Amino acid sequence: MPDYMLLLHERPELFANVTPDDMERVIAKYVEWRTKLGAAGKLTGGNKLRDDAGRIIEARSPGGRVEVRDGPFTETKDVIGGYFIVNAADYDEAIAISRDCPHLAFGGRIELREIEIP
Amino acid sequence: MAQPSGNPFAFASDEVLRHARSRVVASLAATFGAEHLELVEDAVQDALVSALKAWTHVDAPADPTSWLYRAARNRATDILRRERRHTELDDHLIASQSEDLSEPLVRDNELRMLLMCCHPVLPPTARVALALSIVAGLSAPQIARALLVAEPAARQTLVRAKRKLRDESVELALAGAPDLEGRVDAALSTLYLMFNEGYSASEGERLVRPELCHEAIRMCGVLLDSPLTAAPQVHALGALFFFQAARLNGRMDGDGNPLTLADQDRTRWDHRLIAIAFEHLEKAGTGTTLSTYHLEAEIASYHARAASVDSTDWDSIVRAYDSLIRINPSPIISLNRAVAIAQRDGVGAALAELEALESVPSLATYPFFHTTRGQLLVRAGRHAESRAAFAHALTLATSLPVHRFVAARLGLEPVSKNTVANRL
Repeated sequence: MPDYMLLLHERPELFANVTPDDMERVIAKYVEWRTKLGAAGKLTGGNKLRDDAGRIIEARSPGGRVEVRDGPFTETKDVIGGYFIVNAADYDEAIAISRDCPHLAFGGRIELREIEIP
Repeated sequence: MAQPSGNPFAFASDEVLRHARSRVVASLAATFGAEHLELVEDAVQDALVSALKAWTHVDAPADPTSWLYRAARNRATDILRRERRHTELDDHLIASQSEDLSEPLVRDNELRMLLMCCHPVLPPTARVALALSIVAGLSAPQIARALLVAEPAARQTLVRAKRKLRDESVELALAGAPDLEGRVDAALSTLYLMFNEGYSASEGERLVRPELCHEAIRMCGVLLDSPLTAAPQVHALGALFFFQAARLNGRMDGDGNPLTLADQDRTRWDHRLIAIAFEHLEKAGTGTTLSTYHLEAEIASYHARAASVDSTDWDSIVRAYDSLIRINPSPIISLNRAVAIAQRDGVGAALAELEALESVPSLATYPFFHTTRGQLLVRAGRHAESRAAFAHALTLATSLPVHRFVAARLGLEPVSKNTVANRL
């Protein structure tokens, strides 16, 4: 069965006024989701990405000088905050798993990609 | 990636993160100083957001408070550096902070924060709001809901209070502080106000807001935990809180409507809390001071002891009210005394007391003055006058459950305050 990567896009401003009580509710929902997937053996990985800007490494032109610069600032509208890797039969099942992810309920967007195994 | 374990959300109980937040704010503010309170709060908020995002992906650490503390401390340091406010003094402050939070240190810092929030330079209502924000960790919208004010007003109160503390250079030191006694008194009156706001909600749909009572009790515990502040009158206030809290459930029927003392099912009172209250009352008696909290707790204790209204020691209650009026002459206390007089000397004597109070402006607009009078008039068989008293109370009551209580006595089904008032 293939693995799928859920890239969690988020809008940082949604968190600006989060309260500890909100957090407990949000975290509880995620834990429930992760526990359910974990028990079914479908969750194979996932992590939060650091809140810093990251780096963009890019060649000016193919074969040209490589440049390193700061990545998109967290002030931008859309950043990838983290990812999960799930094991699913096909896109349909992976989409069903994504639909249940609390990330959507809290205003986030999920980009779903199948990991190609040669 | 941490695999979901058996108990991945060990701290899932209510309020844990909220109290973790307030502990971290207290610890950092105690080191950085009251003038950096807003910076500390910003840093802690950032740490919370970071924690939220981390703990949605992997299991939360066993000790979320320490995690938040380290993250917030680093964030505060970053902000200071970025704003070029970083000085040698800050270096010293940062270096002096321990990696982890020891329990005694946290408690000490929490006490400093409580006394800072209740500082006499602040107006009493601002003290309640600030203590709910900093010590209880409630957000501005939560505070606005708890205190029944608009959200912008709550925010404004908090901003002004913090500015005032900064402008007045409020000191956070405790040991040897010359004004410590006065600051403890200010804290007690703040907690009293907070508890009462929760216990007899004056407006809105709910008769009681137990979360406010709960926080007032917790903060009273902070004062009692330190030998510097655990004075007899603090125990007295603690006793009063526990006596009252024991009756929280019994004060309402199943629909959240108020019950008179006679109608309350005393088996629904929490006897575990009553026992704690008596312990505090005993410790309150160790000093030489007699505060209003002593007397109010004493009055509550006679009710807690009695099996019924009739077997209550009303004579002692009346005498405690007499002492209370000597220390703190207040029309509301006189009103409560009149209720005790009715039990001891009869309805006629009580109605005579009320007549003497009728011209007091603050009572004329106080709905409970008129409901009390209405109930006494019923007992005296003066039904027409009673009806008029309840009808008048209905035009004044601002809390929906109190409305229903009064309306029930008038045989009305209230739809809303205005429609009921219009029908009368």
